[in-house]
Amino acid sequence: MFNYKIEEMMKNIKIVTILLFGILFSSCNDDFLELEPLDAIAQDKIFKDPGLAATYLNKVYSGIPNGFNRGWYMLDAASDDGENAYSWAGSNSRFNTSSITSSNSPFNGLWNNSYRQIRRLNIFIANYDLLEGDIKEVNRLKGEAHFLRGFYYAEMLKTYGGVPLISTAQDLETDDLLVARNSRVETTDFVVADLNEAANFLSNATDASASRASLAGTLALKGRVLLYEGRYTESATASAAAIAAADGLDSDYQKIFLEDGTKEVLFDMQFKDPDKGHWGNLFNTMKSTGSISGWGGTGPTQNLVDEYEMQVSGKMIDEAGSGYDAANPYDGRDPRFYATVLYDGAAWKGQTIRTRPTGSEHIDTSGDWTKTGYGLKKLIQEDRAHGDLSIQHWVFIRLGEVYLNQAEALIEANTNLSGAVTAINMVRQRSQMPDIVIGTQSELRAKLRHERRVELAFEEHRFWDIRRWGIGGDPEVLTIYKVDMDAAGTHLGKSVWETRNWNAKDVIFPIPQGEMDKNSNLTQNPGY
Amino acid sequence: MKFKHLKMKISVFLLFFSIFQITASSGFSQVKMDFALKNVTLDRVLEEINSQTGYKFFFKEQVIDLERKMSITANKEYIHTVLSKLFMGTTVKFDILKKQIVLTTIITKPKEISVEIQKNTVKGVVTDKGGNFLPGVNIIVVGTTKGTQSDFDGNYSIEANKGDVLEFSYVGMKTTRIIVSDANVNNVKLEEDAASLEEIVVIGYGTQKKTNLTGSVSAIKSEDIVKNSTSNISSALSGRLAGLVTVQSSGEPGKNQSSLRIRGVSSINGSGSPLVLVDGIARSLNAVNSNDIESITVLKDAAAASIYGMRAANGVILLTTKRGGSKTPVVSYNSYYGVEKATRMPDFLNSFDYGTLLNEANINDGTPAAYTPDELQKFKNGSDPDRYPNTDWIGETLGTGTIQSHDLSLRGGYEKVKYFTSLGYLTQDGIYATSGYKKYNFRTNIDVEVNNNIDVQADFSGYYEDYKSPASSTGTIFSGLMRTPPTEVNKYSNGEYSDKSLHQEIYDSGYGIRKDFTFQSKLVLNIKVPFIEGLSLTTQVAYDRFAGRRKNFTTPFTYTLFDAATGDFSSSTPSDRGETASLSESSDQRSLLTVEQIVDYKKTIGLHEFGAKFIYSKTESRRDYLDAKRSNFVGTTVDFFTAGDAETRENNNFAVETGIVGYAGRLNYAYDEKYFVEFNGRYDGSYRFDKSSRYGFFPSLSAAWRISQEDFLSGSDIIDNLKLRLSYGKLGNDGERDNLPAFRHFSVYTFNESFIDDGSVTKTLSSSGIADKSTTWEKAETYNVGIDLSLWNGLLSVEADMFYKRTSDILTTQSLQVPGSFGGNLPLKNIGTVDNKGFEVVLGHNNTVGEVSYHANFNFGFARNKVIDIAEAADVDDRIKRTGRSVGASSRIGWEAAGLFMNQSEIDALNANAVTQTGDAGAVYQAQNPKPGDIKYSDLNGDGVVNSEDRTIIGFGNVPEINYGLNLGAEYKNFDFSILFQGAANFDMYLSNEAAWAFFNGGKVFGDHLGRAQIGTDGNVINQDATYPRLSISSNSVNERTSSYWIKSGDYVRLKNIELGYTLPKSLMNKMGVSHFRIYVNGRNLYTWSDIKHLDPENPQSRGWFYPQQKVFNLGVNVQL
Repeated sequence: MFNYKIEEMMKNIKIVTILLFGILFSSCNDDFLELEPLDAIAQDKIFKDPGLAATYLNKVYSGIPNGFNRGWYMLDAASDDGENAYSWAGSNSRFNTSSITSSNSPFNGLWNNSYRQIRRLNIFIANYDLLEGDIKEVNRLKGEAHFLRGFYYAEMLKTYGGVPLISTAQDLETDDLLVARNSRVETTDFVVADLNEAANFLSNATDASASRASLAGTLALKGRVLLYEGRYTESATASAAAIAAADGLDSDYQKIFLEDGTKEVLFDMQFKDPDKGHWGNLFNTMKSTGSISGWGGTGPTQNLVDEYEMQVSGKMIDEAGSGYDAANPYDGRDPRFYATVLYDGAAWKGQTIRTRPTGSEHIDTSGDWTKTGYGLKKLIQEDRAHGDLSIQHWVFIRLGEVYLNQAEALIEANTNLSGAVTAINMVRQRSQMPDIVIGTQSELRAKLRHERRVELAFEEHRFWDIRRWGIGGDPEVLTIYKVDMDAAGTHLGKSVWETRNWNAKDVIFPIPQGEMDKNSNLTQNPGY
Repeated sequence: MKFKHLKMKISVFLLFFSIFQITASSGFSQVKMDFALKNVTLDRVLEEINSQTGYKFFFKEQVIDLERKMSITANKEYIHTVLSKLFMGTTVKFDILKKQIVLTTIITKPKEISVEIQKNTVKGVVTDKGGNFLPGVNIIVVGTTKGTQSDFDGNYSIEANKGDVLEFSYVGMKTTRIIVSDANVNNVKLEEDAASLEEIVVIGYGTQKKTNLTGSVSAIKSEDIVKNSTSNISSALSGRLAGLVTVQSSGEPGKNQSSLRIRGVSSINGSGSPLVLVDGIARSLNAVNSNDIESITVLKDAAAASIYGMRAANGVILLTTKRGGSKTPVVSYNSYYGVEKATRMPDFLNSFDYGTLLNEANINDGTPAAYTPDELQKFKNGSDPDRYPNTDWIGETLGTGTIQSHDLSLRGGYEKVKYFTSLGYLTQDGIYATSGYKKYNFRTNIDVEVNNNIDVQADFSGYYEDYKSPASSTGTIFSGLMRTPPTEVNKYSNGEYSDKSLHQEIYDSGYGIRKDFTFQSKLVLNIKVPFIEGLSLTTQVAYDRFAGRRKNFTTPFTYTLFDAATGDFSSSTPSDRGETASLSESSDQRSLLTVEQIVDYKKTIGLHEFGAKFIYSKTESRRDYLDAKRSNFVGTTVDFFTAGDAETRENNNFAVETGIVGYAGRLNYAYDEKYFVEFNGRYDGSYRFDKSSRYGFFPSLSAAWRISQEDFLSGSDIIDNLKLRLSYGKLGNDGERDNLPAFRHFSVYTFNESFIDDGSVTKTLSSSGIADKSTTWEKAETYNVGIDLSLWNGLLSVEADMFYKRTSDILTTQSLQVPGSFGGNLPLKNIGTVDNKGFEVVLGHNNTVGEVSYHANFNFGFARNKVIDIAEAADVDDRIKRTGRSVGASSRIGWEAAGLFMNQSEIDALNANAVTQTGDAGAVYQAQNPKPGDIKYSDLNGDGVVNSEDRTIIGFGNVPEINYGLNLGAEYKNFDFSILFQGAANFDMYLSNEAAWAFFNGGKVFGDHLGRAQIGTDGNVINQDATYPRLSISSNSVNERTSSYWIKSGDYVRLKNIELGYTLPKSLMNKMGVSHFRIYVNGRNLYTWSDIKHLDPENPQSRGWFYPQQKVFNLGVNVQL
């Protein structure tokens, strides 16, 4: 029962009604829809603050494809140096069966990724004059941006040839987006111009670690690009300048790849627990019945193993007087062999590798067992469980390569062969290998090519060297050998494991089909 | 007291056209009532009836004796029954007009009764189908003015001749006629009228009589949901509602909800999940204890859903919970206990058969056989189980789960207050002991009538969910079960588990826990504006909070190694392997505030009824998330970060705010309950768009015509109800429900992945993408035509709907059009268009034969969608073009399989033809060197070779186009029985890897693989009827290409639910002091018919790495005090 008097009740209702309408109309304000992301920064703030600007560039550094992240195989497994134990790494088998098309190319992702990073750099370069702070700090950031743009275009140049050169961030509405390809020469010039600009800035900049651009790294990249493009004289000059700007070679060859901060490394990508890792150890560790068991991954071929000279004589194993003992083929070889290859008898993670039939890491035609009788040691951390994320860095540029780039440029230019010999011997001396001596251009070319293969194995050089030297179709490059042993470990020589395919088109890779479809002004590379 | 104000001295006639418009609020939809009143006045009884039903009484005060004392009980009885009891033996007559009850005094006609004395007297008892006596049934002799009513005990007596027809009529029951025979006793059982014209359906912001609906709506009552005894409501809806597509993709405790879609798929984005509103607020279905449900309504077309505007493009599901009621408190207790087992697990071969097939695979591959006959024999005879085991991985790893549910509720009212309060508890153990789920629900819904014009509702509810699982993921466990061959040991003869065993993954890998608490509250203030009849104002405010916590402690474990050569066992401990424990923990806080103001106006003038509604609604939410992780723990006993290695610490957090606003309106008009027109519209704004494109207007228009009310049909004996419905409407979608990124109108930078600079960790910064202020709503326009038909007093009812829905301006990526050299993260654009067409039919049948009453309900829904435009490049090959295909199918591109190669000559001939056709001497028909027994693919473009250009879109999508359910039920005496079949068709599953391929990744083989192509000594296939390619132990890339060979039709029919119940007789219950006591047995997912034999057809995962759906046997009880 309620004791309201009617009038009182009506009064209350009126008040409530008025209040309610009041709320109704006052709440029609829609300011609460004006939300912004809570954890974001506006662009104009970034280009004032060198700290934020460096963080911006970090994103671009992060985007560089590294060798541990190519789809569960090492790029060298698509060269005569390596063979993947498992067959499901699809892009690897496409290389080796010469079945790359514009729709399935493993390098199709490079196009979009590179242009994505280049757009970031174009925005950065257009705004970097807004940067405030220490001139050396600002110069460093400016130099880095040009270095990075050069780096990305250089990656595309070696992969596709000439590409559309986009040097300002396009506007979706106003710019013509259907840009045609520039020529190979134009692209090279663009890269060189960026690297020159970078070198200018970096020569008056604060020092930074190898994971950022440096003057030596910039010059080294310039030497590499010019070498690839056959501009030997300019290349040799750039490499010489890089060598002058660098700190010299390290004494321990193996450590270069396993530890950050060695002086020889000019440009790398670093990893750290637990923030950033890769799976290099896991997929490259040999399959085993013992405790080391990994996925198998990329193993060296007999072809590569046979390249390692005898340490004492400095001769190839099939040369007279080399000192090679076919019964004990792994004795007395170039020290880089022991740093690169796991073979029957090698010690690894507290056990002895046995690739002989029935051995704990035995060679086998099926499953994830080694196909060639060898496992990868170089680049792999022995002291880390293969199931943990790997944290060894990936080396993009190191001084060892620069010496060999310089030597090759000098040999091809045929102007200063003794300079080439000196450069090659710099690299050999570090690994306690006897010096080579001067010879004819073609003798030295062979020595240089051999040296590159041994020194730079599994660093993603052989793949490109095969292409630029035009030897991709050579039978010795296409025939992959494995070691033959019996169950007791007695060596029986070698035999053919696989014969790969090659077509002329394979020297370069197709423009992704999706891009061809979208941009009618693009022309496809021959054969695709 | 409300009704006393209405005791006005005005005539009944005037009252009929009364300007007092009485509103029925949603709580009063039940026309049945419960009470037990002893020695009270009539006045008090009328008050009770009014409070329970909302019916108002009109009468002349001097005619009715309000002070008459009586005792009366009602037990879920219809108002008509109660009133009959009430006025039995008095001269008071009642008429029910809509929600008004008019009381008058019967003008007796003594002449009619006294004059005819010589006639035959027919007697009998009138009952309902449950055998309850029905008092007050009107009985007339057809064609005469003679009539009577049944008395308190259902007895009637009437004078009638043989051959006369007696008609029995009663509100809520089907009118029944009998012919008078020689027998003097004619007992009559009346059936409930399923198509009762009074059925009330919950619609957006209100309720509506089913007959007055203009939109397309499906409803399900609480009894049918409770019947499923399932731990989640979404799965209980399966097979019950036409047009609702349910897919239950897991059986894992607490994670076994079904995904729901209304009318299939209409967009290329996101889940397509409908908006779920619990008591009008966007909440999860999971929030509700199924025993608390009053009703569930599905709004399918735009007319029904458009009052919810932007969130309604995928349809709306409305769930209402129970509210208070009678003055006599009703206590209900519902409980069940069940056992669970996987619906289906693959039939793996034993180790002998495995070894035999492995040897065959080796021979096919040209490698030495894996096992000697002697070894195979050892697998068979089990003589050396450590070296030659025969492990039944599933049998040894999985067990049975249990489920238990208890629910206690109290429902009642006193004076001006009504209450409903409940507690629920559900516990479910998985098919391995370390997984489980517990859920605790509470709810209190209170209604207070402050005075005649002001009502207040206060609802508080919440639930706590407690999940546990091993630290190893479900995927790890089930991939192991799917893969590890029977030739590997689970448990060695020394009782220790091997390194392949999943026992440790399940029991020793640590734990994962998740504890989520959700609190929900709602306050409603409802004011009837005095002096403006029919105008009411409502304000409702809801505030929900969610607090979630997860913790995952992963511990390494010890396993046993066995040296087959020496026969020695050794254990491998975590420290041997350098493995340590790690811990991750997260906290998730969310809040949701909804404020709504509603103005409602209703008016009736003569036969014209008008209604208008205006709604202002705003919703704001915020989420704060925090997680942290450490590894390298010291030991495994302390599961806190202090025991972890600080160097490995990781932590992260984020916060998100959202806001939406809507102004909605509804205008409706009805004439004489025959013609209905309704307009709905909503003007919506979302925080997801820029100011300039933020608002969208979403109108709908619908109309209905109840043809059966027309004069030419109103007298029909066949047609009870015939209604035609038409609607058109436009709905919006801002992408929130599809998880599309917000803030596309800003270009801002956010911190991203780590970057390591000189050994130290820094961050990266990247742009959210290019700002685009122009993107706006996705729109869905729907046309719907529907017909409702009820025949022969509800013996057959038909509800059919046909729809066409076009979703346009779908936000999709432009990158299909813009060259990659542009380099930007392109904003989404409103470019896509998808069509969806289909129909639904519901057939119902109710009847009583003898003492058995039964019902059948069949529902069928079909929806097919088609991509009209997704900005696809013009020169995409027709075979792989998505445009013109269905959304789901178009993403599955592969080769068309043309059976297996049977012999080498067939391959040689095709290769020769390839050379001829291409002019390339090296050309082959199919790459990868196929052999007899391998899959042959079709050369679709006829160029002589099979390559990527021959790929095509293969099969249907994952979402069934056809969904149906057949629900049968019967009641006999105290027994009730129901059975539900549910099925789906026109969808496919792509099975691959572990779920399809023999020896995949060193894995096992199925019974299905026995049908493999066997290779003879000549290299050709021996068995022409092979159903699986030749075996190979290495992965055979010829056969493992994406192709139609691995597509299996997902079509299935399930015996979804079957239930047998027994209600104790009244006499026994009375002795026990309970008003209702029912026990039942129930089975769920008991049998499935499908083409896919070794996995559940709702399996979401082409590799079979999922926790299987469960079949459940339950024993349950429903008790009411």
